[in-house]
Amino acid sequence: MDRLEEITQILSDNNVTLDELLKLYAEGVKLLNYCNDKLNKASLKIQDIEGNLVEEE
Amino acid sequence: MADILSVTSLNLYVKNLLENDKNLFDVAVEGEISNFKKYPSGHCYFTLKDEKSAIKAVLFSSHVRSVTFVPDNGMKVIVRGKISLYERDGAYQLYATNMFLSGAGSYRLAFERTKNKLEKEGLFDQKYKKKLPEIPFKIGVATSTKGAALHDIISVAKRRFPCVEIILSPCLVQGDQAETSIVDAIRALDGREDIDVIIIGRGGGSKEDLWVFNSEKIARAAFACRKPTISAVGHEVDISILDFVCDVRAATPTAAAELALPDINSLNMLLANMDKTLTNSVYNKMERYKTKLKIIENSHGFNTVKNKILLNKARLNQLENDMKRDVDNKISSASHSVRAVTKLLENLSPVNNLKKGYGLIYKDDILVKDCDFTVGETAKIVTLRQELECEIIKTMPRKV
Repeated sequence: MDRLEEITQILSDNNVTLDELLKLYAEGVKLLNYCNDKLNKASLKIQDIEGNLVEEE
Repeated sequence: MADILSVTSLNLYVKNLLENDKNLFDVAVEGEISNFKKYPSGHCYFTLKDEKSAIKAVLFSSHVRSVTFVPDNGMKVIVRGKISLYERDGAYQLYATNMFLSGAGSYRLAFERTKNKLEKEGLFDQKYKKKLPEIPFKIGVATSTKGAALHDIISVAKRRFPCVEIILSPCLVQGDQAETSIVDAIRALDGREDIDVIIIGRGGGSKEDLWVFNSEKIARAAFACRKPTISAVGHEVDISILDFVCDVRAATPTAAAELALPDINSLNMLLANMDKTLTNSVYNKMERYKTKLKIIENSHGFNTVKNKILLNKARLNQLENDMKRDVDNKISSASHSVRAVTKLLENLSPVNNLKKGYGLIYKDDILVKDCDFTVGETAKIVTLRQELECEIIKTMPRKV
């Protein structure tokens, strides 16, 4: 997420070559997908310290 | 008169009496601590008194660790232990095995004492406070399996950030073993590499229930954590020593979970915004490049080159056409000559002579030009339409 912010920052700066621009854009899109995946795929998991699943009472 | 006893014998005798009295074997005595002294050996000596009386008391180092507060003068306590006699002084004493605070004032005193001690050591210093991670994917929770704290934390996680993993380090949160149990639970969590933040606490309870969270050992265990810690003990009004040591104090376990976990909706919004910014800035940049390209294309320098190229192209075309025309002319004049020669050849052909009425004379299949025939010989005459086999019947010289 930090890197994404950094990329958007760099891109709004005017001194980016076409090559860099395309590279950064590709990286940005990849990061976005990764973050979206990570945030939205999983459901809450509760384990105890030994790795046993904990049932909520 | 009775037998004469030595002092030692008398003291031993009384000591035996006291130790064999089952009412004095396990007593709980309430009083106020005074003359408290702790020796380097770890043993503590003090006097327990009330308005009228006092008794000397000892707390040996082996029992010091079961006391959850730091004893000090003026504290009202309940001391548990046995009654015996110290032979050297002939003093009867209370040998303490454990001590409990009694009365609000004592709690406050004990609390202040621990607080001052740890504060002096710098355990509460801001410079040691670690920042909570912005997005934790694994949070450790040191609390009871059965308490409200775990339940509250889970419900916040479900609502706010369901992609988090909660690692529970179960521990007792009240009773004799709570202190050690909580210390172990904290250490177990901090020993792992994959945990982003640790929440330590329990749900609400009486002052006595929550007292263990004022323990110096627990405070030190929390202070030693490499990971950021959040204290979550009881309700808003309950303040514990742990609150001062942890990197962040939360009023309740629910509040702790809310502090630790980001709201997934705002994160998603943030991501959507970044997506938009990213696309827009790339689009704008591309447009700018396109405009730049257009400007270059239309520039004077670029056009000079372009015009030169066009000029040369035209010239090349001209040359090509010229060349084509020349070649064509040559070819047509050549074919004209060929036609003339053909005509000439046609005119010279013997067939033409035949057309004019001449005949061709062959002798032995050879065309005759000026041969003398003799009578009786044969000759072949070819006319335009016929071949004639002839026999010579008469010869005469031609008159010219």
